[in-house]
This record gives sequence, structure tokens and C-alpha cells, in this order.
Amino acid sequence: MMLLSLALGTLAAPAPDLVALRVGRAETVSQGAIPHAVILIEDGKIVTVGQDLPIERGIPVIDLPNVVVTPGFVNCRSRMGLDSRAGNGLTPQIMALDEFVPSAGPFAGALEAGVTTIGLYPAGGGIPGQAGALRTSGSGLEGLVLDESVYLAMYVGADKSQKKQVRDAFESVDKYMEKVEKEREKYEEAKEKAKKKKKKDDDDDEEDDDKKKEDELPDEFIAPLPDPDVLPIIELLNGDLRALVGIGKAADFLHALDAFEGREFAFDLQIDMRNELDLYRIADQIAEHDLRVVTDPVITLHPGTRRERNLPAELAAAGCKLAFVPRSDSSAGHERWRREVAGLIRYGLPMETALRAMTHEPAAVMGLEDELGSIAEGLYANLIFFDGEPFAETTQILGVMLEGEIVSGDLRL
Amino acid sequence: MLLLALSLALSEPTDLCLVADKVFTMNAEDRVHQPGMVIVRDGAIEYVGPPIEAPDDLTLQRMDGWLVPGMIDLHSHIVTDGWGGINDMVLPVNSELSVRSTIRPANSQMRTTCASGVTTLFLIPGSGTSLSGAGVLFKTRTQSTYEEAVLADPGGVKVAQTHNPERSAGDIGQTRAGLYWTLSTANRAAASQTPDPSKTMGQKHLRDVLAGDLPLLVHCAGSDGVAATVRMWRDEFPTRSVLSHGSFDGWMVADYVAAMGMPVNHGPRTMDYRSSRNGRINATSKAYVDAGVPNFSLNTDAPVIPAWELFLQGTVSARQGCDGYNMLRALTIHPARAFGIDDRVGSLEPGKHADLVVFSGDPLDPRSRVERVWIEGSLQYDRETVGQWF
Amino acid sequence: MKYFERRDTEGISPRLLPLFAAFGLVAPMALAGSQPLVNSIIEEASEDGAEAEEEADVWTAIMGGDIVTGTGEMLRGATLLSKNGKIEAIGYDLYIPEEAEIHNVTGLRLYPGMVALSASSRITQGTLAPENPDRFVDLTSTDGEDWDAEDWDNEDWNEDWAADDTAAVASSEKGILDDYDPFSPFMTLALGAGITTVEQSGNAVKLRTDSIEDVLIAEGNLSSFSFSSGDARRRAREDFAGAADYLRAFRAWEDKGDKDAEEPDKKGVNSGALKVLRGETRAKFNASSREELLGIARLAQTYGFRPIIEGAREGWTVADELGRAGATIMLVPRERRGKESALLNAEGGSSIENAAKLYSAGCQIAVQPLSGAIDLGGIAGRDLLHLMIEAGFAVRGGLSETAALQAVTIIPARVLGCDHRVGTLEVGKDADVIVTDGDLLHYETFVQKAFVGGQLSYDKANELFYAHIRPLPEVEAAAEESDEDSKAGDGDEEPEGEDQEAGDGDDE
Repeated sequence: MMLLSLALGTLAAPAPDLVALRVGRAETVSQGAIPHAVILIEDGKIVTVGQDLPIERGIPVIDLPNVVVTPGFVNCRSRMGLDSRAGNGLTPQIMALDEFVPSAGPFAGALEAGVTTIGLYPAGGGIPGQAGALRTSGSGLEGLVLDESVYLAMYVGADKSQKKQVRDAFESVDKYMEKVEKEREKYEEAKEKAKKKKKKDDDDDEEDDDKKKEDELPDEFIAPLPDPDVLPIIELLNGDLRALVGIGKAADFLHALDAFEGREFAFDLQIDMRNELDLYRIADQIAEHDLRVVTDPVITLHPGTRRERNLPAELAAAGCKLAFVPRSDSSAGHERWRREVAGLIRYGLPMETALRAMTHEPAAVMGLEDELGSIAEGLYANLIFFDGEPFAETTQILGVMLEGEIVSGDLRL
Repeated sequence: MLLLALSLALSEPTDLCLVADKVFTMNAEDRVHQPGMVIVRDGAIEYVGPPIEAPDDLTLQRMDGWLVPGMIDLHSHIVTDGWGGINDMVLPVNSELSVRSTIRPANSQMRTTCASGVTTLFLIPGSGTSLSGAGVLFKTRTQSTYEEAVLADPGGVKVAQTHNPERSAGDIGQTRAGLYWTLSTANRAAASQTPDPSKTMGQKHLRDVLAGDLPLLVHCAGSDGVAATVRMWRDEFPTRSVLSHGSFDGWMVADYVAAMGMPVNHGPRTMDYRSSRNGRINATSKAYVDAGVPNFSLNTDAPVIPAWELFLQGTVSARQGCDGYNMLRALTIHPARAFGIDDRVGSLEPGKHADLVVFSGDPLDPRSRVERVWIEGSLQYDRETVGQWF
Repeated sequence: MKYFERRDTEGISPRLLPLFAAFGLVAPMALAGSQPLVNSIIEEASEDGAEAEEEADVWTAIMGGDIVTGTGEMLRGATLLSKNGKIEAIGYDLYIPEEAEIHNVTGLRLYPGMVALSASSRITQGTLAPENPDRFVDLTSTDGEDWDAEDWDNEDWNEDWAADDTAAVASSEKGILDDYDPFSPFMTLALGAGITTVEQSGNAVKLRTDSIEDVLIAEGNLSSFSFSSGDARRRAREDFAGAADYLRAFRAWEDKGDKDAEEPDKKGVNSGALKVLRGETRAKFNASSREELLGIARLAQTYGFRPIIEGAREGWTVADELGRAGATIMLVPRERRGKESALLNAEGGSSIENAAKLYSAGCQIAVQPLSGAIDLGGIAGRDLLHLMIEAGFAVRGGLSETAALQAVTIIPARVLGCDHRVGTLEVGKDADVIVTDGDLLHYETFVQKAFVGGQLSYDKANELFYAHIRPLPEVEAAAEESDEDSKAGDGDEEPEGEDQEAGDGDDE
């Protein structure tokens, strides 16, 4: 540690546009582990990554031979910096970020724990609104905001009113489409009429009055505006927005599918781990639907027993994708996050899956997987520098890089 | 009116010579006679065994079905037609109280109970206080006076080790430790040479228990309560005590109960799912039996479950894995032995009370019905004559 | 879509442009020029629906068991073949398709799955998790003279009853209930008790552990009437009288065929009574005293409908009248209650012979459990899990074993209006089959397997609840272990006489 700091100290220089990191190992997530990896960074983005890449002369090289680098952690479902007020209705147009007041505090703890991206979700039940993505460091709102709309939060389960709410939301789109159709027909009719009239007028070589009327019709049909609460659902069905569907037990998933009535859109599942949870009953179905499960990394008890189950490991084994979230939004909660995941690894969750569940998959939940969440060309240089195996008990975080800049830790580049 | 008249006619003691398809003696040799004969004189059994020539003075009666000893329930509160009982909730230790004065002989519950094949009850006070007093061993005669039906008064003493006394107890009684202290103090006082009558109501019954002259029934549940019961009444104050209930996860300390040689009178719960948390419907009867408790019997805690469904406690225990014959023991000879009344009831042996029940088949099968019941040789219930009561 | 882009163009973001294109629309507010039409979401959805047709047939063959069909037959060592959830064939030497899932149940028995009336809604919804886990620690209760703890299940059961009236309404033509949980542990337990269909608020609901579809198999077969007070009785009589008058007028109007004549006014006519008289539903009463029962019998005979009566405690005293009225009786055989003192000289109160006497008089008998809840509190033999024990009490009172079996299968199915699908094992009906290790009515018999719609939905050996109790020999062999030792120990205690209580249930 001492040595490393010293070694780094010598490198301290004004950050150039292009910099090469030479590290002991890079856990890229997208391309597996690369020993002796070189990561080339420019303008906060990764230019390339590879094993023992030759580095062009003139490019500053930072040597960190004892360091293991992973992508910055992504917490895709958090209420950090938001209050607990919540509704319980159909308000898909509400943006979680609208509640957010940037202030110095809220993300420091998360950042220290290696979290570089946060997804803030709207509180409430039903379809409470849209989550937004933030950097954990930046100046002002503008500097923090990555994407103001990353997924639509939605809760549905084995409950009549919940299912109705979701059905109503979808039906509102149907109704809007019907309205548009009607308007279009009206437009077409008017247009047709006007054409005939014009022809007639031409034939008759008549007056200007009617001509004026025709001019009032636009050249092309313009659809009426959808209501603001319908718009996000249209976006969802159109593939411009993902959904994160919160459920409470295995049966909820079946009822969610029932409520969706065969409409296709991109979504993932969110569920709070708890004892008695019967999620294993639908592991195969979740895998079949190729869904992610956003959950907290906890060992739970089999229903009615004191038998422990590693549900995340079971889900992973069944082929489900996992995205972990910390159990608490507090600084301590983020600090514990990595250790809790380590606990699941001890009891059978593959390390690669675990790391993926803290980086790439939560990024994908927010549709940001092409921007962050792994160490790959073109992605943000969001990195965590560990002094050992990322999930080992004694391993410390030396530094956290956010878009090419060290924003936490003692590490100096 | 009609029933009353019939019942009066039934209750005359008669000498009998019965032959049944099967006669379960429930004796030490577990003798079952198929067919078997029972000869009764003066309310007592004279002969049990394979059919022999009927004595000249008796008419041989052939019974279709199984003849078993009348069943015994050591934990019953059906002293009246309803939930009535006694339980002085003022003093935690009521050694001198007795249910005697509250018993209504041949009340409607008792009559149905008799018609289900149960002939002896230990009628006890409730469990609201640590030591609620003395109970009475009572026959379920369908028409009788108190004196005719009583088997032993006092028949034993009732203690509630844990749980229920916590509800209404003040100060110290609200903790398990406090409850233990209360009973322990009462015992020490009773055992001492100079009892202080101003502190307790009088300690005769408790002293009889400590001297081994009276049996004791201890209400307890849960593994902690069961262990505390055994510790106090076997170890600290060795007595003729019987552990009652032993519910929830009490079975988890069954080995300790067995090692200390304490009889178990189990029920009304006979299974545990919630406290054990191993995902199984745990057959608690089986757990105690398998642990080797020296004497295992079943109860109803009537009217918690109806007194006439005592047999069903054997049924469900057998269903959950117990040996059926052993459950028949748990309903007859075992409770008799546990309370030291096996010289009179609990099995069909010469010299014992002629408390006889004829079932149409397996007594544990709810489909079987009780055809006739005699108590001490007098017919109490005859389905054919009075109709099927249960 | 960066944060601030959103704020222009009055709430419509540029990202919506492709959206409107996809809908074949020109975006409002003249945001962009037109795009060629593309398929709309709505069209896509309807195409998807058409594709989902082609699915392979699903076959299940349950082979080698003794099949008790519930229609009075027993086929020894026969095979039941199901295709796509329906019974395709029952018999010997059947052609079994290669792809069939085969279950060899030689030595076991097959029965139709039982149909449980008055089941708690927790069966199809509940979870084992107690509301407050602390209750595990504190096992004391606050009332009851000598109870060691409250009975949680029964407590919830009461709530269920309160809530039941509003629950259980089908969400779609697929027969889905919006709160149905196929993974409810109570469902597994109920299947383990031999129950494959339950009543939920008058509706027939199947216990499926694999899907939420097609679980509601009959709905609203019952029209309930109160008959418990003088007022209620008068009202019921008026309702039926009114409905009968209306029907008469309506038929007369229909027969006339006079278009100009006005159709009789339905106003004020009780819709329940009308449905009953039209044969669309069956009238259901809750009644116990002989007066009520006689009144119902008279009412039913007057208006020509066959009543369903729940309770009927004193039914045995007026059995002939109820039989003549063609009543179906839902009862709890072991119910015990003394007669009212008003019945000084008349017979009254409960009787263990109730079921038998009513049956002899021509009534159809459906047996209800003493409690519709699943009771895991420790007291066994009194809840839904012991429905067959309850049926045993009917036999105790003199009902035949066949009638007792029907009382928990086809008769309750008729009450709920789902007898065309469940309640007996017949070709064309649902393959809802329980496989037992003996006579269903014997107390030691366990359900080893339960099939719902041909699908194996319960396997005793694979569920924690009962797997440890008398496992089948082959399962036991696989488990080996110290079970052997304890078996030997049991042997010592065997009395001299052969075959005592256990096992006798098997001979018939």
C-alpha cells in the first residue's frame, strides 16, 4: 500500500487527454479477466483494453502492477437523496429526478464503496413514474445527471387492483390509438372532400371562399397529443423505455404476465429478498423470458423452515441474469454491499456472475450497458482500483475513477 | 324424558358373559383374544380369555366387534355442561381448592363422552394459576350421583408450569423464572416442617404430592417449559408427576423427558409445524414415543377438543406415524398406570373394574361406532336401545 | 436523452419522433416531416396471438393402480390415460403414446380428487410466513381457558370469511383469479390431503401448482337466501312468489307472440329467485333448525326447485320432507349440539346419524370439513386437511362408504356446478386424480401423488410436509438410514394377535 502510493506519487502530472493504465488484472466483465491489462483512456472514455498492449511513445503510462480493476459499481435502484413521500397510482409521467436536489452529501459513501452510477427510482406503488440515472460525482444537477429516464417503475402482482391498474395503463394507449385513428379518418375525409370540391371548383372555375377552407387543412395529418400519463406507456410499448416490474412473490410474476396480456416490451423484474420467498418456483420461467432480477444479495430461509437458500445463486444457475442492489441506501449499506455479495459467492454464486450483477447488469436494467458497466472500448472509464481480489475480506478500494477522473480514494494518477 | 327412563334402566349392575370378535386386554402381555370372552361379576372382571363354557347362571352375549377397556382422559375440564371449571385467579398457588364442588355428574358432555368409549376422566381445574388445586378421578356414568361416579377424590393435583399463568399473574408471575420460583417456593414451604398457613392457603394437597401420595398433572408446553417441568418435578422435587401437553417444540427435549423417566400425557396438540421449523408436519406423539418416555398417554384438554374425540387423538397420532396398538395403550392402560389407578382401570384383567366398550371395529377408525359401554358392570350406553349418541 | 433536452417543445421530446413514425403518424407540433408507415403495435399483437396455436399434445399415463372411479366401479391394476389435461381413457391394455409421461403406481389406488366446500381463501392465496415472526417466540395466548396458544389459522379463517364475499372474481375468459397463488404452500398441503378443487366464495377453483390459467372452473352456481328469521322467511317466500308470477306472465306474453303487447315488467323481481326458477342457479340456504328446514322443503316443493342446504343440523328429524324436496345437504357429520329447549318433546339437536338418515331419505349429501382452514397450530384431525376423516364420521353414523366418498367428490362438485369437469374419473373429464396408499377413508392412508389436469402437482416423497411419514417402500429404500432400526423397535411392541386396528380399512 505504502509502496504503491509512492510509486503513484511519481506519476503525478497534469492529466493528459490520453492515458494508459497498466494494471495487475482487469475484470472487464464483458470480456472476462485480462491479466496484465492495459487500459487506454481518453476524454473520460475507454479507448481500448487488452493484455500487455504496446503503448505508443508519449502516452503517459500509469503502472499499477498489484491492482485489480473492475468497472465502477452500478446501483440501479436507490432512493438516496430523495424523501419517502409516495403515491400509489398511475403516474408514469412522474420523473424521480424531479424530486432530486443536488447537494454535496448524498453519494459520498456510495462513491467510496465503488459506486459510480446510481439509478433513482420513483417512490410509490402502481406505476409511480420513471427512474433516472446519476453519476455519483459531478458539479450541480447538470454534472450529475446521466439520463433522466432510464426505466418505468411498475408494481404488479396477485392482486386485483394492481392488475387493473396495469391493464388500465395499457388500455389508455389503445384508447389513444383509437382516437388517433378517428381523427385521421376525419382528416382523410375532409381532405377527400376538399379535393373533390377543388376539382369541382376548378371545373366550375369558382370562387376563393372554398379555397380558403382547404388551406386550413394541413398537408399531412397531425396526430393529437397523448395525455402526459399515456405517453410513457406508448414509449414503453414502442421500445423507447424499459420497465422495472416489482413483484413480491413467485405468483406475482404469472399475474404480471397475465396483466400484460401478451403486449411485448422490455422489462426486468425487481424483488426484495426475504425469508419464505418462493422465487425458485419460477427461476426457469424467468430464465426463459431472459429477464434480469434486480434484488438484494441475501441468503434467505426456505418457506416454513430454517433451511437456508442462496436464491440468487439458484436463479443464476437456472440461467437468470442478476442485478444486485444494496440492502440499504445508507453509506454503511453501500459499504456492506460488496461483503454481502461476497457472502453469496462463498455459498456458491460464481464470482463472475456476482461482479456482473454489480456492474453490467444493473447498467443494462437502465439501458446504459453501452455506456458503462464494463471495461470495454467506447464506454465511460468508470473503474474501481482494488488492492487485491475484489471480493476478498481484507481487500481495500484504493480509488474510484469516474469518467477518467479519480473521484474517491487515496489513489493519485 | 324417554332417554332418562332408558338410562335409569341401563345403569343397574349386572353380571355378564360376553364374547366378542376381538378382545383387547391391554394387559402387560398385550394379549388379544380373537375371539375372546369376558365374564363380569359384581362390577368386576372375573375372567378374560379365549371363549370357555359360559357359567350356568349367565347368558352368553355375542358381540360383533372389538371389546376394549374403557378409555381414560387425564386432562379434562368437562365438570359441567359448558366451559365451567374452577380457577381462582387471585392466588398463584391454590393448593387446597378442589373441582369437587363444581362437578355435575352425568352432564351432557360426560354422557356423550361415555358413548364414545371413555369411562374415566381426571377432572381438573384450569391452568390460569401456577397451582390450581386438586382434581377428581371420575367415571363417565350416564346417570349417577357424585358418590357413585367418583373413583378418587382427590384424584391428583394440577400444576401449570408455564404459559397460561403468565396471562393473569401479576409482577413476578409474568416471567418463566418467576413462575418457577413461585412453585419452587410453595414446594419448599410445603416440604418444610413448619408450614406458614398465612402465606399459602394450606398445603395438604401439595404435601401429599411431595410425599408421593397423590399424582400430579403438570400443564406445560414448549421445550423450555417441558424441561423446567421435568427439572422441578423429577429432579428438584421427585414426585409422581405426569407431564401434560408438552406441545409445540416440547418434543425436542423428549430425550431428556425419557431419561428422567417422566410420563407424558400428550395433547390436545399432536403435531408441530410452526415452532420446529424443519418444514415437516412433526408427529409429536411419535417423537415422545420414539424417545422412549416410560409412559405415553393422550388427552383432549376437553372442551378444547371435545371429550368424546379422545380416540381421535390416537387416530391422528397413528396417522402421523405412531403404531396404532401403542396408541390404544395411550388411551387405556398407560394413563391408568401414570396415575396409579391401573389396579382398577385401564385394562381387562380379573379383579379390575368392568369398564368395557364394544366398538364395531377398530377403535381408532372414525368409521367405527361404539355399540355398548359398561362401567363397573352396569350398562351405561347401548346404541341399539337409546340410539347413536356419537 | 440528456436531462435538459427534455424541456423544449412543450413536453414532447425529440425521442418521440420515431415513436410516432412507428405508429404511422406524423408527430404533433410539426416536430418533423412524415415517415413511411410501419406496422403498428396493435397489429403485431394480433399476429402473435395467431401463432401460439401449434402445441404438442401432452399425455400422462398413470398405470397399474386400482382405480376407484367414483361412479361405483373399481378397476384393479388399470391405467388412466390423460391427454391435454382431460381423461382420454380408463382401462386395460390401452395404447400409450410414446411421448406420454408414465407414472407406475402399482399397488396404489386412484380416486377422483376431492372437492372441498367452504375452504378458506388462504388455500389459493396464502403464504406460510406469519405476519409477525415474533409470534413464534411468544406462544402464549390471551384468552381461552386452557389453551396454550391461539390458533392462528382459525383466526385468519374468520377474516377470510369476512373477506370472502368480495373475493374471487374471474379476471378473464382464461379462468384466472387475480389473487391466485399456484405456489401457496397451503395448496400443496391441500393437495396432500387429496383435495384438487376448492370452493372459494361459491366458485369452484382448481388447485393448480403450475399455472394460474383455467383455475376458475365454475362460477356463481349458487343463489343464496336467508331463512333464519321470520322476516327473512317471509322475504324469501315473497321473492319466489314474485319471480314465479313474473315467469308466468313472461311465458304468456311469449306464447301470445303479440309484438305490440308490452313485455312484463321485471322491476321488483328478485333476480336470485328468478335465476333459480329458470334453472340457471341453485338456491342455497343456511339452516339448521327443523322449522327452517321444513319451511325450505315446502318452499322448494311449491316452486319446484331442489334446494341446497348448508348446516341442516336437525335434518335427520325431517329427513323425509327434505328428501321429497330433492334437497342437497352440506353438513359436518361430527357436529355436536344439543337441541333447543323449545323442542321439549320433539327430537332435535345434532345427530351423528344425520348424513345417513338424510341419504336414506333421498337427499344428496356433501360433507364439509369441521373447519375450512388449514390448521398448522398443532391440533390435528379437525381442519381441511382431514376432510376424509370427516367423511369417516358420516360412515360412523351409518352412511355407506360409497356415499361418503361421493360426499367429498361428485356431490360437492354438483353443488358448485363443476360436476361436468371434476368429481369422478370418467372419460372426457379433467384428469384430477389422487393416488393413495390405501382406502381413502382409512385414517392411515396418505395421498402419495396428486394430478391436476394430468399434471403431477403433488408428490408426497418430494414435499417436506409428509415425506417422513411412512414413505413408500421404494422411497424408503432410497433413503435407507436409521429408519430400519426404529422399525425393528416397533416390532417388539406388536401384540400377539395379528392385524389389529391398522390395515383393516383395506378390505371391502
